[in-house]
Amino acid sequence: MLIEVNHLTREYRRGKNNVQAVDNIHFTADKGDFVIIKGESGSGKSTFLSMLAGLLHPTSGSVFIIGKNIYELSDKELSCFRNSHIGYIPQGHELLSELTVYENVVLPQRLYRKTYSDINDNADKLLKKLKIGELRNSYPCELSGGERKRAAIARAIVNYPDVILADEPTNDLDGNNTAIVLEAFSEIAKSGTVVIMITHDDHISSYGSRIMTMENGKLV
Amino acid sequence: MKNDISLTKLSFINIKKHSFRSLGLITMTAILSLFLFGGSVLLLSLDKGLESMSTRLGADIMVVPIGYDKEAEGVLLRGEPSYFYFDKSVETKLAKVDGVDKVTSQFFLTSSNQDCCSVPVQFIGFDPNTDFVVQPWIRENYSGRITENSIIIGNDILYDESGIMKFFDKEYEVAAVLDETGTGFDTDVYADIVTVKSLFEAAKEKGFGFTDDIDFENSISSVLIKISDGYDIDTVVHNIRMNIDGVQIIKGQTMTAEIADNLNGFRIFLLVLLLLTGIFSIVVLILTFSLSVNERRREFGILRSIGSTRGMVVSVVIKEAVIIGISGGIIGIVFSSLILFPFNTYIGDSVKLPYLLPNSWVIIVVIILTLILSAVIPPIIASCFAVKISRSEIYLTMRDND
Repeated sequence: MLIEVNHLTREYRRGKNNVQAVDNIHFTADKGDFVIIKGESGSGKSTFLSMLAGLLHPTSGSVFIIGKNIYELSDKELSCFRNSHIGYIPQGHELLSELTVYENVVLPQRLYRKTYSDINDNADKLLKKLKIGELRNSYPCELSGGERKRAAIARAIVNYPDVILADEPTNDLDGNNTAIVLEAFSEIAKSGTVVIMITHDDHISSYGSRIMTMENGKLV
Repeated sequence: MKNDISLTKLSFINIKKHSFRSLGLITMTAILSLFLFGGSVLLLSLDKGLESMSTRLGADIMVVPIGYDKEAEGVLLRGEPSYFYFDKSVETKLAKVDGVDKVTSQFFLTSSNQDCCSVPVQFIGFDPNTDFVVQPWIRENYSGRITENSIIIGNDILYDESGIMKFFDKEYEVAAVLDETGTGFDTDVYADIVTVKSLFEAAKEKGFGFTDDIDFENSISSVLIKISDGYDIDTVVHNIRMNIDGVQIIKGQTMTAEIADNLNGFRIFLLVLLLLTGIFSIVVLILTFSLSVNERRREFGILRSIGSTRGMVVSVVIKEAVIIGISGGIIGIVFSSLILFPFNTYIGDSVKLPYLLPNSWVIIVVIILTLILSAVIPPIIASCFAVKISRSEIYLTMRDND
């Protein structure tokens, strides 16, 4: 299995009470899976996804990606692992506003590759593929919501990761843009990458190879 | 390499894109550096002025006609032209006082601001046979013999290329220019007693009233005393008072001590000002960096989510702070220099204390230290906040700005 999640739990303290945002989840995914996780706001979807991305330490449990327990890695190792194997698309403002679209997309490549020749400069190809090639020198504030989302997708896949994790990428997008984003994910999944996307939109389930629902921190 | 990006470039871009925030931070660092550099140079100049004055005074005790102690101090410290005389026999009497090792007399004369004189100055005539004060430091700049009608001038006196100065319509050759002291010595003209006599007679011929009733051969303005080994100044002063009437005694160390006291007061004022400015600037830098780093939590979260380590994120902030610190440091030093160096004389006159700029090497060291401090303080402050944020859970950091 490319992803294996065991007994994953995350507790929050809310006032005097402990809240189980993610409650003892077992989950697996393999190459080519396009998993859509649905659920209402507050069901724990984003918390679960961020733990898969190595962005939030679980209270208990483990996350294995390509056989590595990511929470047993040091910060340096986990950061490098995330850079190479995980593409994460956050919710909301996902790009660095000071950089152009192109600079945003190539930044993950530049973090660990010491020389320019080490870099497989596929950013322009990806931008063209996602139909935002002409916007390479634009700044995020000059883009529409759909264009920003596609730029974030290009950044997430620029290092050819094994896993793409997208936190509500179709939120606030119109039908046309939603379709473009979902088709892009379908294509990425077909190339062998695991795509896990969370949404609270019931109408986009048809794109996923597996549809799951989260309720009160549990995956059903 | 098209549109290449790196974390270092990101630091520069951040500074450029957030120009208002960056300008505020640079201004605060510039203020810090301006006061740090300016205050340090000012303090060092005052210290050097005092040191130079102590060296030049050269005598343990100065004796002047009664009631003329302030005028004598004015001549020496501030170059205020003055003249006063008493009988030359005082010098002989002083030489016999118990505890007195050496005595030498000086004759003060002033030039005029009329056409007959190149510049209005204070003349100090010394006796080359007994002098132990003026000649040692004249020798630092002039090894020849001071001949009749030649003069040695202080550093602040201007003269033309011919090397000739005119006083009371007579010409005198400038034999040497003394090193700067930051005191009244810089506006004095020194000559041996024969040349001063020629000046005195020339003034008399021109009808200047201040020469009336003065018998040059039997008059002197001051007597400088070096005390014998094993005696303390107070004992010798007491001995003089017991033996000679009608004289005012000025202790060399008292004159320096009074200036040192004034200097200490000024130094404390400057240090407090420096401290307050430093605290104010650092508090503003802390607040600004705290706000700036906190409002960038999402940016740091995004950097972490694409694979930046904690160190990489902190390094972005540190690089920005170093650039801001060095820019502010340079601006502060430039502005401070534009005030300190062109207005050096005005500052010296305003503080009314011996004021002498330190040499170039000392100034270079102060510049380097100021730059180091300016380049180090902002990154230290910024990194404290950046490290704190980088230790938070990445997911929570990204959500904090939502």
